[in-house]
Amino acid sequence: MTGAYRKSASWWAVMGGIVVGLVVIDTALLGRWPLFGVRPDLVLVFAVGLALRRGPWEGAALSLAAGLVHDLLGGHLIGLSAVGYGAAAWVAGLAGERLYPERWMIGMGAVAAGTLVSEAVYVAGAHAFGVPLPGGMLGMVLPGLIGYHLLLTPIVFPISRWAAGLLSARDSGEVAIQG
Amino acid sequence: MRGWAVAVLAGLLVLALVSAIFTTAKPRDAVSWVEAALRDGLAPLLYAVNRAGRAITGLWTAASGVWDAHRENERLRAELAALREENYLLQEFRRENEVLRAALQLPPWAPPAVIHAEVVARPLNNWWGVLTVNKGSVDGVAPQMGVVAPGGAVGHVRAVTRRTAEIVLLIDPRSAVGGIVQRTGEPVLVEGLGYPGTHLRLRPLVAAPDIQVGDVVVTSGMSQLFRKGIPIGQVDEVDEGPYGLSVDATLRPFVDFAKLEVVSIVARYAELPEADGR
Repeated sequence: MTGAYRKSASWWAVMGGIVVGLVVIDTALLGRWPLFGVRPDLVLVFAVGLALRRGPWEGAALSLAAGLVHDLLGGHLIGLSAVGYGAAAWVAGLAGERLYPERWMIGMGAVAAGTLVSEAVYVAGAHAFGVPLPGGMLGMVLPGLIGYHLLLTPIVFPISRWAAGLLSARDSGEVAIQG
Repeated sequence: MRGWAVAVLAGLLVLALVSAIFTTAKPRDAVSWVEAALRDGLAPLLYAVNRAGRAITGLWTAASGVWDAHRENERLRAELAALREENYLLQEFRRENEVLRAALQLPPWAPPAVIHAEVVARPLNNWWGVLTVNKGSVDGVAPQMGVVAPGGAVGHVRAVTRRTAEIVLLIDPRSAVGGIVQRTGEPVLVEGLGYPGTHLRLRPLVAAPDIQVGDVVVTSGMSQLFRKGIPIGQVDEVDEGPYGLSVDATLRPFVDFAKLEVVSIVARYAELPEADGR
C-alpha cells in the first residue's frame, strides 16, 4: 500500500462523492426548478470542466465513469448517458488542448458544445437501441438546456478545477514516489 | 504489449456498455442489486435535500402569494360555496347509487387502499418522465400499481427497491393509458409526449370519433392500473388531419407534473403488508 495508491484511492472517493452530490442536487433540488421546462445536468457540466483541464482521453474516461453513476440511478438505457458524457468530454478536452481553457468564453463554448454532443449522442443511441425519441424534441430541449448549463457553469467549474487540481497533485505525487 | 492490453480493455468496455444499454432498453420491473443499493443508500440524502428545496420553494411561494392573498381568498370562498352545493348533490347521487347497487345485488363500492408517498427525486434527464418516491417494497409498493394525485391520474410504478419506487408518469413517451371521453363515452388511448410535459396525445379508438375542445377524459378502468373515472385531462386541441380521415388531439393533464410533491399509490388490499405507519 504505497502513498500513491492511497492518494489514488482517496482521489476516486472524492470524485465519487462529487458526482453523487451533483446527481442528488440535480434530481432533488434543481429538478423542481426547471427553466423553460428543462432540467439541468450538473454532472455533464462538471465532466466538461474536468476534460478542459485534463485533455480528451483522460476527460472522456473520467466522464464515462461519472456517467455510469448517473445512469445507475436512472435505471433506463444504462451506459448511454455515460457514452454521451464521454463524447462531450472528448470534444471539450480537444478544445482545452488547442485553446486557452482558463478563459471563460472557451469554457462557456465547451459547455454549449458538450451539451449539444451529449444530447445528440443520447438521442441517436436511444434510436439505435430501439427506443425512438421524438426527433423534434432535441431542437426544443437544446436551447433551454444550453442556457441553463451556461448559467450554472460559474458554480460548477470551480469544482471541476478543484478536482482537476487534486488529480494533478496525485500524479505529481506518484512521480515523486516512483522517482 | 501495453497498447495491445489497452485495446483489449477498450473492447471489453465497449462490449459491456453495449450489453448494459441493450439489456436496460427494454421495460423492466426489477433492478440489479447495484442499482438497488445505490438508490436505497441515497434515499435519505435525496429526502433531506428535497425537503430543503421544498422549504425554499414554500418560502418563495408564500412571499409572492401575500400580494394576491385577498383576491385569492375571495375566489376560493366563491369556489367553496359552489363545491358545497355540488357536494350535497353528489351525496344524494351516492345514496341513490347504493340503493340501486343493492337492488341489482352488486357489491357495495369501496374506496381502494392507497399508500401515500413523497416525491424525492425528479427525472435525471429531459427525455423521460420519471419520479422517485420514498416508499418501496417494505411499504407494500409493487410494480404496475397505479399512481394518482389530488388532480387525477399520475402514472404507474415501474421498478421498486426496498425504500424507493420509480414512477413512470403519463407524460413519459413510453406511457399509454386507456381512457374514455366523459361527454360521449368513446374509448381513447392517452400517450405521453415527453418534453415539456405539459401535454398528452389522445388517440381515438373508434371510427369517426366525436372529440371537441374542452372535453374531459377520464380513465376507462379497462386496465388493472386505475379504476374507472379518474380524471386525466382536458382536450385543448383537435386536429382532423387531411380529408378528415384521422383525428389527433392533445390533452392538457389536470395534474401539474412539475409541481408534484405527494402522490398516492393505489394498492389492492391483499398486497398491503400489515405494518402500521402508512
